[in-house]
Amino acid sequence: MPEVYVNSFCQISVQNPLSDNWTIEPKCFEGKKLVELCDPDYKKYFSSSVLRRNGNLLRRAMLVSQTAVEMSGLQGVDAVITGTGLGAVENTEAFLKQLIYSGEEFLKPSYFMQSTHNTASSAVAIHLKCNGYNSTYCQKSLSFESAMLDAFLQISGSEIKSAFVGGFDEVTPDYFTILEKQGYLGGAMSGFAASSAAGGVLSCVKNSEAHCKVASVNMVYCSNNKDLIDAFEKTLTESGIKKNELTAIVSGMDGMPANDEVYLQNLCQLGVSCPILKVSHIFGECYTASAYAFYAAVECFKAEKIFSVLTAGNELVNPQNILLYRHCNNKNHSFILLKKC
Amino acid sequence: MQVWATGVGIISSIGGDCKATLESLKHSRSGIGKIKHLKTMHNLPVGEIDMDYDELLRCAGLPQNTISVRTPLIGLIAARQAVAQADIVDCKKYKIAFVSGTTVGGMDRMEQFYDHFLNDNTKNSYLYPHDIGDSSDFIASNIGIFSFVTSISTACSSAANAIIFGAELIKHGKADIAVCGGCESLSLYHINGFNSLKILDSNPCRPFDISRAGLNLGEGAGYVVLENSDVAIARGAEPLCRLSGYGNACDAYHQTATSENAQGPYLAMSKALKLAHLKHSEISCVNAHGTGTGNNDLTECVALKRIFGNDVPPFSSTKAFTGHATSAAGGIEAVISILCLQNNFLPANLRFKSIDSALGLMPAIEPMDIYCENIMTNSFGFGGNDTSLIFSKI
Repeated sequence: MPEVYVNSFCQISVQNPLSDNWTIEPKCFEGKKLVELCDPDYKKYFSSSVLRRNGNLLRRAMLVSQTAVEMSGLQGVDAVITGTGLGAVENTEAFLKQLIYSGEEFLKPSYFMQSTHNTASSAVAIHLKCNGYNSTYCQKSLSFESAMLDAFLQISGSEIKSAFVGGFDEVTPDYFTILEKQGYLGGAMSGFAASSAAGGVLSCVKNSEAHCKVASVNMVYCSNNKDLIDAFEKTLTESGIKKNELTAIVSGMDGMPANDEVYLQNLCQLGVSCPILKVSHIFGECYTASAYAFYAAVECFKAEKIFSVLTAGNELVNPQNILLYRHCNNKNHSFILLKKC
Repeated sequence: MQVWATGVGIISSIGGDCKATLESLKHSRSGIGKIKHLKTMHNLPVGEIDMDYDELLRCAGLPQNTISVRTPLIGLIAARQAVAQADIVDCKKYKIAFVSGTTVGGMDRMEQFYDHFLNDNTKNSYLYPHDIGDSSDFIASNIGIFSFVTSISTACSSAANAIIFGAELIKHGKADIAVCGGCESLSLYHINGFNSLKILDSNPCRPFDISRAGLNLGEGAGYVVLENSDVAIARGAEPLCRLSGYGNACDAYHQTATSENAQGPYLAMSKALKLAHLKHSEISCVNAHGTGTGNNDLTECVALKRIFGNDVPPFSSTKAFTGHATSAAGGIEAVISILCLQNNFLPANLRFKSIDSALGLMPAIEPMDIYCENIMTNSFGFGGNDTSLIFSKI
């Protein structure tokens, strides 16, 4: 069975874009509830007509994919698979507000055309000229994980050789209000919310930049501990490792008490003793913030250490196996195991 | 191991279950009519399910005080039918996945209460069920047999791609059984979106006809229970057919238009044929995407001719019956295709009168009795997300 190597992964985030500066000197956003992404100067990358046609989410998706493909050394990819919890929210809101506040008579199609959830995957395909498999997953906090599972199955099943996989979301001020009322962001949360844009190239062929591979991906929808533990143990078995061989677990803890409590309880049930890492204090939280968690883990393998900014303590050297665990409402859970290669 | 279909469920403007749908298809009864439940200023023909929120709740077997959102309610009704037909007795024994396609999700409530969501707390109970993932979660938790749940949104091919992913989960051992398809309700948001794109026909739509002037939107849901054939045999499940091939490709040309040589649709169909190990001549008939827009029908014909040459099999679009139920269309039409396969017939392409020489192809103008060994069904979406499925007799 072919291996699934992570040949590149990059980000545009609240930290410096397309850079790993955050590993040493992360920008700090204490006290902020919603932080805007630090977008690069897109004029350096795209023509004015491309810029005019595409909003922020699509610009980010195109630049992340272009950079990831360049880093991978490939000419292109066989598939484009992304996750998004909410799709192109800026455009959705713009069209919705026109509709609600100005009525049905004088609507223009431009916002609507780029408001469907698949616009990022589609824009990436157009940008990379990729006619291959193309899909978009939208399952709240497990949207990126679903995309990863799809890519993992197809590459390990020899159906495709490579895929661009990413996570893209927009948290606008208005949407933040809605998500805050839902109890997902803001409110009692000690961390901050932010949009997301991260992705990379997975391939069955290892390049010189690949320092880890995806060894297993599992998702389980359950409300009992047994199924959760089974999925966790299956992830370890499929990766050929034992529990004590886990270097660290990257959790989706984001500073929201109710959410973090679930992580603490469930990780306790899994009986793990390795360090639990957080990334949300660096990149913020939204449905596909886990694309940053994946990226951070990939950077750890590359640097052969787990950065102290992730451990809230000392750095750990030479990581071998990093598990990403994320849940949604303590009902839908995912495990992704990354292994040094 | 093969991927079998062991259950189907459907609801649309032409019927609330398989039996009613089949009757409408056989007797060429269209579900396109005036808008009744959606509060809009537009006087456009649509394929609307004639039920309000309370009636949908009743039909879905839920109490009247349930927080109701149209898309997942419609989805639950069809998904329940599919699960019931598959007759899975000992659910705990199997890994059962739910993969659902939608785009509208809870937009019906969002557009009604958006101002309240932002400015007061009077409609907060409707805050939760508003995104795509929530729709699938609602359906899954009400059925209560799933150990895997995810959603796909690739515009008008969402449900077809959900069926592909369900099959992949089975092939790779991640699921024994996958309930997959999609659901979509009408919303002000997308009826106005399509209207602003000027692709809605103010008359009942006429796919492939020279006078075609756009599509009619519809709503509904269609789910297929896919199953690992070994599992189905072991539990004595009656297969309806098998999913023999599928293909997903991207046109990678434009967000809302298809390329001139229809590369996306062509690749989707050719991948499906390749996976099914079928020659094009072995396809008995095609359930076309056939929306009735100038661009879609033209490019679909270009792709059909590229695949089938001079021997394009009988084909028809059922969108003139149901309207275009966008993200649910691939699920609805997968179920319709399975009904065609079981009953050896192809529904008429309603309201077709005159051939368009630019298309050079003529769909089935009457319901056809046809021995249906392998049926292909196409779903093409905005963003160039093109998907083709092939169902075959066992």
